[in-house]
Amino acid sequence: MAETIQLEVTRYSPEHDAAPALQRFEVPYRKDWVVLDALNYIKDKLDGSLSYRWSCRMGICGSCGMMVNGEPKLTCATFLSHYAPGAVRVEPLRYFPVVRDLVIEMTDFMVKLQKVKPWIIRKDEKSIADGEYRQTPQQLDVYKQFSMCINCMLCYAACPVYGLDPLFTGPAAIALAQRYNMDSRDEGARERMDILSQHEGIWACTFVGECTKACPKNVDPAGAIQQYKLTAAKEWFKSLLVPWGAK
Amino acid sequence: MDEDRRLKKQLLEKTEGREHIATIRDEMQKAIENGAGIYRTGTSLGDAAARLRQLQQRYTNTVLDDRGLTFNTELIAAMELGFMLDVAEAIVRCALHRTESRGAHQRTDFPKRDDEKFLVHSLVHRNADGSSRVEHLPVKITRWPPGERVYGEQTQAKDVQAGR
Repeated sequence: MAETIQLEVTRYSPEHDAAPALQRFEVPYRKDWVVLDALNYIKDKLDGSLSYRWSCRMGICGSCGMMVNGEPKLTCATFLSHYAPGAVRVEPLRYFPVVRDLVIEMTDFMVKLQKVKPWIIRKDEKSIADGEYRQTPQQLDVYKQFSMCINCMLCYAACPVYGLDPLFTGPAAIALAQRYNMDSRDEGARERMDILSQHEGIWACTFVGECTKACPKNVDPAGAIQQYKLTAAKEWFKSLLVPWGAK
Repeated sequence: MDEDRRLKKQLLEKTEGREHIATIRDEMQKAIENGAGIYRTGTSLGDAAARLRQLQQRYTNTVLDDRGLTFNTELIAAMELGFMLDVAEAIVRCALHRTESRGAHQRTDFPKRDDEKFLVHSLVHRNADGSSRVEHLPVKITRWPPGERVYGEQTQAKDVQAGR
């Protein structure tokens, strides 16, 4: 008989269940299978009603983030073999409301993301005829690491501060703000500072560092936040010393 | 609203049937992979067309595990499968009709390109009786005129011919 492994998966239907509960499934154990393969096996062969988000299967779309044995993981990049002989517990991303089974409600993150204006802001926009905003490879290197974020929200599920204070802007949104602040083509740092320097912005962060550990793309949100704290503190001193000098 | 009702009747509220979506989807993938890959023949395409007809029949016999109205991904998968079966049929129908080889369509039983007959877009139409027919739309040549695509040593021969 072929080897199998047990999965314990969160089930919750708002139409039928008062609260989420774990359901056990037995799936084939294969060394080349990731947790997402096991979920797809369940959906295709055992129970078509299991709901979860996924798309690319290659760690770039950011939609298959879930808690695997209590840790936030991209299920497409997390091998069953790491948890053998099992069982493997698969739950929805922590700190987010659950819509159904493994699907979370992500509006909170989407709103925060938009608030930090993660796009290039210019005082005067060039016309298309005037061409691109050019940048050297050195200028690209300054922010490139932060631009690798795929919005998978694992860092929110890893962050105890976000767990305690849902108003906290959170790791990915701050890292993305910093990605644009450090972009040589951007002139929007001042606009972003209003959001980021609030208490719920960067200052809520106590530098636990779990976000950076959880990040599947090595973005280092914790580093971005500490970097920005320094910038914000310097700006604050500057505004005390030369109040008329605010740009 | 009509579409809502159709989905409810044909998928969400249907309790009879025994086919799983995933089974039909897997078999569709195999049929297309085997019959309508880059290298195809009249025979392989004919087999694929016959398999697809069976699968379309079986698709009417599917039943969902999920009757919920919240984030029902199985319902989406069922709708997608219906569309994919249509697209698969269109691919096979056109490939059968196009008795030549061009680009990613390599009919090993018709290895030559035939600009005379087939420098055209193929359009598939559904007939009233459920069958399909292929019609043509002329190709507008703009920047890149069609030419023979050759690789390796043949490239050099072509350059010599062109005096390069």
